[in-house]
Amino acid sequence: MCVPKTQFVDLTVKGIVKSKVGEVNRRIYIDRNYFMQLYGRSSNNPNEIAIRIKSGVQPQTIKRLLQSVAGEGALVQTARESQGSFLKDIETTFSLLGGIIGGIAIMVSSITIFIVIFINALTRKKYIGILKAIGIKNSVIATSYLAQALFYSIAGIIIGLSLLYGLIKPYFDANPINFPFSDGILAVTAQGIVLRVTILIVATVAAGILPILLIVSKNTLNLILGRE
Amino acid sequence: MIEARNITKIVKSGGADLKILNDINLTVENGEFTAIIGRSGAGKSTLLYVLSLLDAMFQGEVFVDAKKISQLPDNKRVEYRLQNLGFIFQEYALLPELTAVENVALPFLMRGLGQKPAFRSAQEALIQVGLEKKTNNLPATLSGGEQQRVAIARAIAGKPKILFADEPTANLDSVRACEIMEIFLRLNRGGQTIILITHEDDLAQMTHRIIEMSDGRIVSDKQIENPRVNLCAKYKIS
Repeated sequence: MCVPKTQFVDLTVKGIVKSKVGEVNRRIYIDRNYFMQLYGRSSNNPNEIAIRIKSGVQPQTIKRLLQSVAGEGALVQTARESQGSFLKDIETTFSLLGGIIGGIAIMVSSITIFIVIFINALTRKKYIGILKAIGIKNSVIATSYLAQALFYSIAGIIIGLSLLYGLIKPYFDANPINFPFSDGILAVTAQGIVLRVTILIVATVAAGILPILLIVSKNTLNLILGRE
Repeated sequence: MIEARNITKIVKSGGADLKILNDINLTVENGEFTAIIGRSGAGKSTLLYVLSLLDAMFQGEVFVDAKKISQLPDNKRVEYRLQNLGFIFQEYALLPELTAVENVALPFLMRGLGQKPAFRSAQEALIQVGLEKKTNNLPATLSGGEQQRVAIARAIAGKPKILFADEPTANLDSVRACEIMEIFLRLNRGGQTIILITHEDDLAQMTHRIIEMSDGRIVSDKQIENPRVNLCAKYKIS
């Protein structure tokens, strides 16, 4: 390594950083004190500072704070902002794909629940008619089928979350997908899970209540006698 | 008292209008045991469905104790049936997954009765029809006569103002049919108003009044001075 005053020093390579981000690979990382000693510096005047923040702290908050201290002339960026558009575009693409796949999954599960409840109600038309005939209200019958749909949905959510946290996420954490630009893991957030579960429950209610309302609203006698 | 005024029911058949019920006027007093007889297609069952609010598609009016019930919206009809009417189907119409006592308890539970009193009342109704030993049987494990008795228990459990029975003995042999008729007679002696559809003249002779229908009309309406209530004695009903 060549340092000022044409002085050659031997350095021991302690490791090679292997990253899929070129910016990280191209750099040499050296102990700060030793570096300052080699360059004969005693003051801190770096041209770039990386700040590691604690979990839960919002990067934008720190950015605003630093910007106010350093002034408008300083370039203060969050890690995400500094990554450039390439990674952002990839992240957006994956988010979009995740959204599309999630949307299709919700649609498929809703259609499945609709079909299951509809077939169930259709094959039990006579008994629904009997229930109406002996004075069971439509709302009670509909609620029982809705409860059935919610049972399927909640059972699916529990099985899905168990698979996700018990198998899939640990697997991808241990064996990330090898993308050319980064390692891919499953980005599972509590917020995302709550959102998807809520959407699924709402879709279940709609998909479950619709077929049973179609059946219970029919004439009691037609249901019992199997007419229509 | 149940009163039907100008009941007419028309259905489309092969593109033409077919009058199934043709201007029926009928009054059944409280405590009466009335049989409606007639050949197949005479309109007996249709009239029963209209009177019991199971069929809403007809012209005319139905009153129970001077209250007009024929114009009630669907949900109110269901509620009215639950509180005031009992219906017995020819095919028993029991829920196959529920035991005898659960089938009978269902209307009680729907009336908001707690589980314990509902099941206690259901047990009492089953005792009334002689099924105290089969309360926990599923319908599939009961004979036709027993299933019909469960259906009767379910219909009478809520002490309805009027009990409608649509050919309840049609699927039963003479012995079982008589058992069912004995139950009806006993209920009627206790003041229960019963309207029974049958095409068995013998059974009709056990009631107070026989209404005969043909082609959607009432063609005769006879009071029976001395109902033949002992007609089933030969079967030694216990």
